[in-house]
Amino acid sequence: MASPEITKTLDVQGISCPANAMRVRAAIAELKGDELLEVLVDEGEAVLRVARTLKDCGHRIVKVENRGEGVSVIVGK
Amino acid sequence: MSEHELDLAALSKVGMMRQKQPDYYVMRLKAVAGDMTASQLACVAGVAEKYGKGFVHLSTRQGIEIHYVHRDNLETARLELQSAGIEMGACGPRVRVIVACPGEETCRWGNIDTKKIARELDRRYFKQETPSKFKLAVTGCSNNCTKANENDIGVRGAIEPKWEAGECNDCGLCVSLCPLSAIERRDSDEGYCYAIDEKLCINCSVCTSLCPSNSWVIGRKGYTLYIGGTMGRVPRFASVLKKMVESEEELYRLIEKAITLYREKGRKKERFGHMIDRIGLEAVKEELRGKP
Ligand code: SF4
Ligand code: SF4
Ligand code: SF4
Repeated sequence: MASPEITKTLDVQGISCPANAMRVRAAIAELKGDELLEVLVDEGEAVLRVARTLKDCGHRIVKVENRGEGVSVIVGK
Repeated sequence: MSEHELDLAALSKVGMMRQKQPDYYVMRLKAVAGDMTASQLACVAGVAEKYGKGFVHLSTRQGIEIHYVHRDNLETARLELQSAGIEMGACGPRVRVIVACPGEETCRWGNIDTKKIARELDRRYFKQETPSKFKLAVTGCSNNCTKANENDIGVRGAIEPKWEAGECNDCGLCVSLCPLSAIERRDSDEGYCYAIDEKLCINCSVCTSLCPSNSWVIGRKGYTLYIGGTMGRVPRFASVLKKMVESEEELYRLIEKAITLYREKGRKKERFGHMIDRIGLEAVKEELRGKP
């Protein structure tokens, strides 16, 4: 199976909670089928907050990697 | 002596402190774990209106104080509060009101029922005499909202996480989320696994709460017990007596031993932590936990 493509990137670094998590939700809502979204989020409280929202909404987290003082989170619907 | 003229030491025992202003007193009220009902609050407001200056002061230890109560009104005010089920707090060299955060009942991060522990500690120790003042606090997790390590005895809810492959999809989220970077991905016979550096782990429950596939489960759950903290004149952070106390019975047994030791060996005006430093931390730990 070909791995699904990352079709969009959303940078919410510098955006405070909970606005960052709300933007992530809105962007995920626009994904079609097995499209993936890469989110860039600040480390610390922000990534905790986004992870919490993703879990509460039952979204699929595919891969997470630290990028300097931020974190890249690849998510699907 | 008239019914209203109570002696000063007795007043301080029941949470009434003389103000700078002659004949005026502070009434310190008791709210275990910072909880009061709405109708109790209404009663407090009424008493502050009638016998104080119409305001209350919130203390740093979740207490309510009514200021500017004339000594002639103290007893009447106390009885009015008592009729609403509000007791007085404590001052002087004794066990103070037990502080606690909301804990697992309402807080997402809570690992323990903080209020239950606080109420039990209150039942066992409130107002009992100790060499110097003695403060206890209960906090639900390592976010430490009620500052367990700034108290003579601090209880902190703790979990020990355990990784189970289960539905883990190797996303790596836990590695990024752990506030102490204690989680590491390792190669294993089954391909990979996630492991914890126990020396770094602060038993916080971030991994067990947020792993999307619930692969981090609670291995052990209990209490981290701190002894000897104080933020008074000579501050001292508490020392960990035991990182994972697994049962309530053991928790109460250790606390009982700690308070008993302080009563036996503590000097007047010496806080528990300073007694520990005088005797030696290791000796105190050994005495309380038994020889390893
Ligand atoms: S210490 Fe933990 S459980 Fe208690 S209020 Fe803070 S975050 Fe919640
Ligand atoms: S967050 Fe959960 S699913 Fe993701 S790697 Fe860690 S244990 Fe596995
Ligand atoms: S309990 Fe907290 S500190 Fe320990 S591994 Fe999990 S997230 Fe990290």
